[in-house]
This record gives sequence, C-alpha cells and structure tokens, in this order.
Amino acid sequence: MNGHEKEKIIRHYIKSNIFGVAAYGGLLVCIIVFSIVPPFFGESIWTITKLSTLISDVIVMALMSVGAIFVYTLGYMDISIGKQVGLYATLMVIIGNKTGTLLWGILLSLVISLFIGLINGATGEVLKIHPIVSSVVIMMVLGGVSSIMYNNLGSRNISLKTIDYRIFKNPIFMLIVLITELIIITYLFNFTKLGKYAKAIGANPIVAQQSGINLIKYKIICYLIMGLCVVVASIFQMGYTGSASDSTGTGFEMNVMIALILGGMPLSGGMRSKVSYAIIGAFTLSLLNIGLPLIGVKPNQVYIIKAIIFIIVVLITCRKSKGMLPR
Amino acid sequence: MPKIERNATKIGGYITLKRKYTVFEKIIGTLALPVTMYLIMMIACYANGKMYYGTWPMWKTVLVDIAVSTTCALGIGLQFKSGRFDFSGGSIMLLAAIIAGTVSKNNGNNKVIFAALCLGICLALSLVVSLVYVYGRLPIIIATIGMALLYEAITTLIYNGAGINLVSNMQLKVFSSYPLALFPFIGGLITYIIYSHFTITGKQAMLLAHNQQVAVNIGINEKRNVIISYIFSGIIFGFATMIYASQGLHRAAFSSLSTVGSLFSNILPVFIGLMVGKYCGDTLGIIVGATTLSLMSYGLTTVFDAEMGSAISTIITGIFILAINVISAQGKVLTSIFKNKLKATK
Amino acid sequence: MKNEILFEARQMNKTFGATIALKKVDFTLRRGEIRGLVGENGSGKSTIMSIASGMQSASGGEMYYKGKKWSPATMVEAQEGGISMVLQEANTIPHVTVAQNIFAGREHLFKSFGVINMKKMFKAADEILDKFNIKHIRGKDPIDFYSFEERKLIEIVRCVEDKTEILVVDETTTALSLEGRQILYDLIHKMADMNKGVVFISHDMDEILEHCNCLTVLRDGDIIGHLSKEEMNSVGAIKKIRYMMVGREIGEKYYREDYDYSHTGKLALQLQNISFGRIKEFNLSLHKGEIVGIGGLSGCGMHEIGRAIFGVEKLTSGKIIRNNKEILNPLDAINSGIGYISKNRDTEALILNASIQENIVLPSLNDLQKRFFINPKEERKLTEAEIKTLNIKCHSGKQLVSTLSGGNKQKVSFAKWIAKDSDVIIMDCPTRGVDIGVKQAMYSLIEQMKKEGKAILLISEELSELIGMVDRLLIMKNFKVTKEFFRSADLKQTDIIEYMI
Repeated sequence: MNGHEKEKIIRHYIKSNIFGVAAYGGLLVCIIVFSIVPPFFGESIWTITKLSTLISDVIVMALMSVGAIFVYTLGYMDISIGKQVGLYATLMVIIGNKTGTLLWGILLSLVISLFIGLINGATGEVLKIHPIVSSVVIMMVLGGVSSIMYNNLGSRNISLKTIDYRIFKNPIFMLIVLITELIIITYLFNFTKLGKYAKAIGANPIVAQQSGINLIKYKIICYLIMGLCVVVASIFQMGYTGSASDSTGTGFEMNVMIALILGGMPLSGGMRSKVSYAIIGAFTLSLLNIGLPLIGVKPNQVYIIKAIIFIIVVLITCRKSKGMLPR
Repeated sequence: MPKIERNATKIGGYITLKRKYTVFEKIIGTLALPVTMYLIMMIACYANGKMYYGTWPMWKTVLVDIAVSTTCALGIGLQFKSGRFDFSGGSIMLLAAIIAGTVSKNNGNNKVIFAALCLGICLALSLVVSLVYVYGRLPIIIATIGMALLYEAITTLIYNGAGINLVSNMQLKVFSSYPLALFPFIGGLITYIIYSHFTITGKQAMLLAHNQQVAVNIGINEKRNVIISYIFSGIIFGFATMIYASQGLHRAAFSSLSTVGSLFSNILPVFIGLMVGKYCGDTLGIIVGATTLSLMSYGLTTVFDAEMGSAISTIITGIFILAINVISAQGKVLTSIFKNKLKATK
Repeated sequence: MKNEILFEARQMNKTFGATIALKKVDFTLRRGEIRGLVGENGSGKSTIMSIASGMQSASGGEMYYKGKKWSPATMVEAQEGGISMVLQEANTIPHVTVAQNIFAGREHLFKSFGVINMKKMFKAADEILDKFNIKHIRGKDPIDFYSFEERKLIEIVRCVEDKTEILVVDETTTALSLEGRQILYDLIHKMADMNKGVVFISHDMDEILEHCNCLTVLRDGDIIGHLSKEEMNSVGAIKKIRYMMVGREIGEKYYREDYDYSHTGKLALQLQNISFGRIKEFNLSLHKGEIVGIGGLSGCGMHEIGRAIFGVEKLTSGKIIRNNKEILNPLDAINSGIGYISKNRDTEALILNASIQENIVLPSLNDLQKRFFINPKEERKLTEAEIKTLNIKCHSGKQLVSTLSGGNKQKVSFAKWIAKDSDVIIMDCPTRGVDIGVKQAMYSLIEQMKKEGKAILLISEELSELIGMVDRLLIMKNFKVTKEFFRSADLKQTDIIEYMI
C-alpha cells in the first residue's frame, strides 16, 4: 500500500470514528483544563474529596447510561427511565421501612422492571407502534401512580428509618459496582450475539430478520438489560440520601440522552454504537458539573456552558455532509 | 372498492382512504370523541354531587385550557406533520414568557407590548432553531434538544433566574381568562390555516413530508421551506405564550429539559388530530383533541381533588395516547375485518 | 429542421470525491433521434443525462441546448426549458393528489392574490391527462388510489409538456406492464416524428434494438462508440455491443454449456398447496443438485414465492416442508439450511453501514457462539475464507459494504449463506445491476453449487439467464404457474414469452 492509499485509509478511519475521536477528545480537554486551571483559584480536582464527589455525581447517571446503550443501539429511546427510578426508589424506601431490609424492595423493583421491559420491547412489534410511544405512556402512568402514592402517604418525601445505608455512600463501593457493570455490559455487547444482534436490528431490522434474528425476543432482551441497570442505579440514587420523593428521577431520561449524545452515540443506533460512549458522556458531564465551579464559574452559568459545549460537540460529530436535510 | 393503505412517517401515522366519507359520517366521526367524553365526565361529576359541570363558568375555564392546549398542539403539529420532532417549543415559550412578562411589567403592564413581545420573541427564537437545523445540518432531534438546552440555560441567567409570575398581575392576566384568551386562540388558528392551505410553502411541505427524496429531486427548495415553516410555528407558539405566561408561576428551568415534559403533555391533541383529521381536516381535529382532553382533566380534578385528579388525568392521557397509536396502526387490520363483515352481509 | 443538433455536451466530466463518473465526455443529440444509451453500472450513462436534466451538476465542461449555453439548477428548471427525465425508481409523492404530483414545484402557476387556487390546479391537471388519453385518472384524486404503474404514467405526464423538446427515459420500462410500455413506446416514436429528441437508457438489449434508431455505448465514464441503425440491425450486433460494454472478449462460456437436467432425486424442499396473498394452491418440489428457475413479468408473483419459502410471508393454508419439518419463519428456514438473497439487495439483504465481516457472519452467529462467547478470531477466519473463495475485492474484512461495487456487494450476500453452509439457496434477481464480468463468475459459482449437490431456486426477470442456467423453468403469470419447461438446447425465448403475457 503506498502512502496515498494509507492516507485515504486513515482519513476514512477518522471520519467513520469521528464520534469516538470527538468524544474522547472532549473528555481529554476537560481533564486537561480542570487539572491546569483550578490551582490558580486555589482549588484542585485531584483531591480525594473532589474525586469522591465526582464518583457520587456520576454513579447513577453512568449506571443508567451504560445499560441504556442496548436500547439506544436499537435506535430507540426510553422516556420513562426517570419515573422508573422514582418508583423504584420510593418502593425501596417504603418496603425497606416495613420489612427492615432492602431485599424485598429490590426484588419487587426487578419484577416491575422486567414487566416494563417486556412491554417496551414487545409493543413495537406486536402492536406496530414506535416503542417511544409505549415509553411515553409508561412515563405518564408511572407519574400518575407516583403522585397518587405520595398523596396517600401524605408527604412529598420519605426516608429510610431503620436500615443502615452507609455503604451506598462509599465511593469505593460505587466504583466497584460501576466497573462490574461496565465489564458485564461490554462483554455482552462485544462477545456475545446479544450486542451484535442489537446492532443489526438498529441498523436494518429487515436484514436482521432475514438473517434469522427473532426481532421481538431480542428487543425485549435489550430492554430487560437496561431495566436491570436502571434498578441498580435506583438503589444508589436512594442509597445516597436514604430517601425518595415524588420528584426523584425527574429528568433522568433526558440526562441519559444528553450523556449518550455527548459521548458520541448516534441516536439512530446501529453498527457504530459502542459501550464506551456511555461512560465517556456520563463522565464528561459530571466532570463539567464538578470542575466548572472550580474554575470560577458561578452555579447559574454552568447551564449555559453545558448547553454551548453540547452544541459544539454535536456540530462536530453529527453534521451530515451534502444531500438532503437529515431526519 | 374500499381499501385502506397506511404509511407511517417515523412516529406520526397517516391513514389515507380510498373512498370518500359522507357528510353524516364526517360529523359523527368528528364529534364522537368530545361528546362522549363530555357525557362521561358529566355523569361522573353529577354522581359525586358536583353539579357545576356543564355550566357556563365551567366552560369559561375549560375554554381557556382548550385555547392554550390547542395553540401549543398546533405549533407542535405543524412541524410534526412534516416529520420533524421538535423538542424546543417548551423552552421557547418559557423564555418568551419570562422576557415579555418582565419587560411589560416594567413598562406599566402594557398589554400591547406584552402581546407584541410574545409574538416577536417566539418568532425570533424559532427562527434561530430552524437556522441551526438547516445550516448546522444536524438531525432534527439533536438540533432541537441543543437549542432547548440553550434557551433553558438562558432562562436561568436572565433576571437572575427569577422566572416569571404574573398570577397576581391583573392587567396582563386577562389573556389567560375568558374572553381575551380567545384572541390568541383565533390568532393561532388563523396562522395555522393560512400556512397549511394557502401558502405554497404549506403545500410543498406536504410533498417534502411524504417523500423527501423525490421532492428534492424535483427541485423543491427544502431549506427555504423549513425556515418559513418555523416562522409560522414560531408565531403560533407566540400566541400560545400569551395565555401560558399568566396561567401560573413559571420558574426558570433549573433541571435539564424540564420544558420537554410539558411539551409531551400537549402531544395527545396532535395524535387525536391526525386520527380524527380524516373526517374533518387536521385543524378541526386538533381542536377536537384539545377539547376532549380539557374536558377530561377538568372533570377528573372536579371529581377527585386537584392532586389526584391531575394524576389520574395523566394516567388516562397516557392510555389514550397508547390506544390512539395502536388503533391507527391497526387501521389496516380493523378495516379489513370490517370489510369482510360487510361482504358477508351482502 | 431535421437532424439539427438539439443538445450537446462538451468535455463534460463528473467526479464524486475520488470516483470519476464521467471523463471529459462529448455527447450530441439531434432532432428526430431516439438514441439508446447502454453501458454497465458505473459507465456514466445515467450521469450524463441526469446532469442534462438538472438533477445534478457537472464538475467540469459545458452544455449547449438549442445553440445556447445550458446549466439548469433543478429538474423543474430543466423541465421549463424543455428537457425532462423519467427515472427508474418511484418518483411520485404519496398521500397527496394527482394534480399536486403533476405540478410539484410549479405551484406558483396557480397563485391568485398570493394564495394557491387548488381548483385551477385540478382543472389544468385534467386537461393534461386528457391530452394523453388517460381518461380514468383525474386531478383531484389522491394518488394512492392508483397502482405503481399508473403512478409511473402520472410521472410521465408530469414530465412531458408541449414545450418538452428532449425526453430522457432512464430504465423505466422494467416497472411497466405491457400496456404501459406500449404507451411509452408510442410516446417516444411520436416525439421523434415531431422532430424532438429522445434518449433511452436501458439494460434490455432487445428493447433498445427495436425502438431506438441509433445507439451510444459507454464504459467506465467514457464514450466507446456509436452505432447507426444499419449497424444495429446487422448480425452479431449484440455481441459487438457487449464487447464494447465490457472492453474485452468475455469468452464463449457465459451460461452453462451442458444440457443435462438430472439431479440427485433426493427431495430438498417441498411447497404443498400453499396459499397467501393472491397466490393460491401453489406446489413446487426442489431436489438436491437441481436448479429450478421461476420467470415471468414483474408482478406475476414469483418474488413472493421466494419470500414465502423463507418464511417471510404468512401462509393462509398449505405447508412448506424441508427435512420433514414445517418452515414457519425465517429462523426455521435458516436453521434448516435455507438461504435467501432478496432482490432488494441494498435494503433487505445487506447492512450497508456494516463491515463485510459483520454482514457475512450474521446468520452464523448462533453457530459461532460457544457457551456465551463468540471468538473474534473465529469470525475473522470465517470471513477470510469467504473473501478468498469468492474473490471479493476489498482491502480487509473490516471494510464497509457501502464502499464496495455492486458486484462485490452481491458476492457478500452470497457469502452469507455459503458461510452458513446452506444447502438450499433462493436467489431473487441475483445478477441485477451486476457487471458482465462478475455475472460470468456468478454463473460458474451457481454451476459449482449444483455440482456440490445444493438445491437452487433462481427467480429472475431475465429470460436469457433462466434459459441458460436452469434445469427446470416455471413460468408464472397472474400468480399461477402457466407452463413448465425442461432444459434443452432448442428452448428459445419466443417459446416462453407467450406464457408470460
């Protein structure tokens, strides 16, 4: 291969991996900026406390995003994640208070999440509607149910009374759980047919079907996997404060979407999905949350900086070149 | 021979008929939903001793609700019909409400300034979104999410993130009560109707929506079309903001994409509108949808109390959305069963 | 003035990034000509005319139309100037009225006081339809009322106005039935008689030789030569044209040379009285080592049979049996060793955004997975074996399928099923859009598979291909089998056509 061909191949590699390059690049820039600048303000990001804050800020988001990769690879989004977290956290507190252990609450949440995963995965094929519709419906139903529950409880906020939940505040524990989940999901995605089938279904469901993939079965499995990760995330969400309220989980699905987009995940899913995008996106967001105040940014201004960074990143990664306007 | 065909553009579903409906069928089809809902709610309320359902004061409140819900739905629906899922509407309304409200308050509560600002700001914000989409060449969902984040962030910055509270502002509040609420309502309707039926852009938008590749090949200018459509939807959102701004307390958006949630609650009239639209056209269909929804939520909050009522209303809205989507998707199946039954009776 | 030059392209070239579609081409069209344009895929025949009709712009060179410089920005602008092009794919817009389709892009003609007058548009549409003698289609009908072919006619109505001086027909006839094609042929002959110009792009040699009065051959973006009517009518014209299209002698061996239609006698697949859609009580037996072909006009039902065997269509009655088991869905079919190559290669058979490897291993993942682990080395080994066997031109298995040529893409779809070791392969139009040289390689591959004892069902719209390759040929018309032919040296196209129409 001569030099010209080599150059073509490199250019092609960068273009097709532009998402990865931009996302990793973004994270790198963040790390560099937040390592260099804060010392001028007398702060540093590399202290134990700041790093622990980072982990606790990122843990819930990262756990959810990594699980959500399977569903986003299919090309679908789940708008109900936030309300699910709210419900699971609430159930865990209520049942935890009644039974003295978190186990039953967790089990019930798992059962419910399996049920929801089944609905989301199957309605697409069976009822022929777009799964985002079923997730919107679930969001509304869960929202209403949650309101009714808190209405009956008579307060907006409930907390664990007897259980010792200190372990959930331990950053080392969080890290271990996160890394475990990451390893499992990465393995399932890259070394078993689950991930490959998900990518195929997201890229072209007709070809997938004509290659022998049972669409309903694997869509359901993808939603189930995400559901499990959401339950785990809920445990940590509740565990950090030991409480739940009727607004727990608000906006989580949007944060997951933003984290994934920022991490380079194409919204249409398909072959170019990677688990790393979830981690990169989640960490970049949390890094911004923790790091921006360290360089003198006022809390109010954090939002606008995040919005601008989002737009810049997408302009680099998602631009379609010539042709029709993208849908 | 009657045959039904279906084509779905991503999420919106269209049902096209291969035969025409009679006037009788059209009226029944259009009125079935709202009338049924009215009757159900009336029975439920009377059964619980709340006799004021169906009285004029109720209608005054419900009409305002219908007004804001319809105008929002028209704004969303205009883009939805073209296959564009726009996430930014809610943030545009919030930002415009804050700016228009605060400026008018500081200028002696001038109604004219308020109305003009609502329209103007919404139009400008909407235009910017369309420019980002067209010249940034981003997928529509990502472009509108990005702009929503930006506008929300701005709401946290201006006036120190105070948001807007016009609930106790007697002069400006007139827009959110009968009769002045009808003015933006009719304004929004007229804008939508002009766009869909009277402009070339509206007609070409239909072509682009149904087969983008062919329309572009033929030479229809997509960019111009999109930008003009966003100008129109901006104006419609402007009308909606006039009512929305003084309906209650609006905080600046401190949690990301919180405005999107309020947007999703107005998507049901759009779905109902598309489905009922084959009887009476989508404009009337959306009004029907908004009416049905408002009647339901008023009825529910009457029978139960405010909290429970709105919770149950949300749940039922969700089920409604599901039912409508399933039914339009099954159109093929249902009507072929219907056809076979007809054949059997011949 | 007869034979006056109507359109001229000078040194026109077109590049897409690194690919050169047209290399500094000079092209002339005179009044009264029905000029056929033939060439392989990628030869540039569609590109020249799509530039002339405003669909895309040239990278270099100039165009002259009626003596003046010509550079239309859009198809609508070109049509206003008098050059219109009818495309191969469906080019009408669903869910709107016929009139809106006819006047798409020209709505401003019906503006009164800044507002669109739909009544005027409907009336104008009806007038045009009447001129074409199409009485049953009216302007205000939703276009969904009409079949694919009627929509093609509406598209032709859109393109041809009184002011149209040049009509370009790009591979349109494959979509039309016999009546539709006749309307089109009448139209182009009428235009030639009226001293206008027609450019006819097609792969169908017989059609070109019959209706065109001159011919131009392209290859790899260059014009290779022209043929006059006398040369077209001479003996051996087809062979000469093929030679010009490919650039080398393709040798005598193209299809099979033997006339032996025997097979092992062992049953590989059986369709027992199956019914679905408009197909009723269809029967078919396929044996190991046998190549069965199904032919007919498009729309006769043969493509559906292929899909049904693979389990994609739901049967209302009857059974598909292989190895004593019923096939109910694609997974059953694949597990029993059936492979299917759909005719919509880019949308149903291959994932364009995926690599060659990802596509080839897809049906075999189930077999590759041992106890929840798929070894990437095994995936690569499988892929490389196939790349070697089929001689797929690429620089690695990680290359994206979308970057391959048509012929190589088809090889990848073959590879999917060979890698899975399928014993029954259903191919639907396997050589459509494939260059002659690659076609030759595929035919020898199919013959090889027959010798290995595989069972092959070849569905094709190309009669010569069927006659050349199959042991047994079933002709379908109106969703039924009209005649069965056995392989023989005397079998001619004329014998078969009467059963197709």
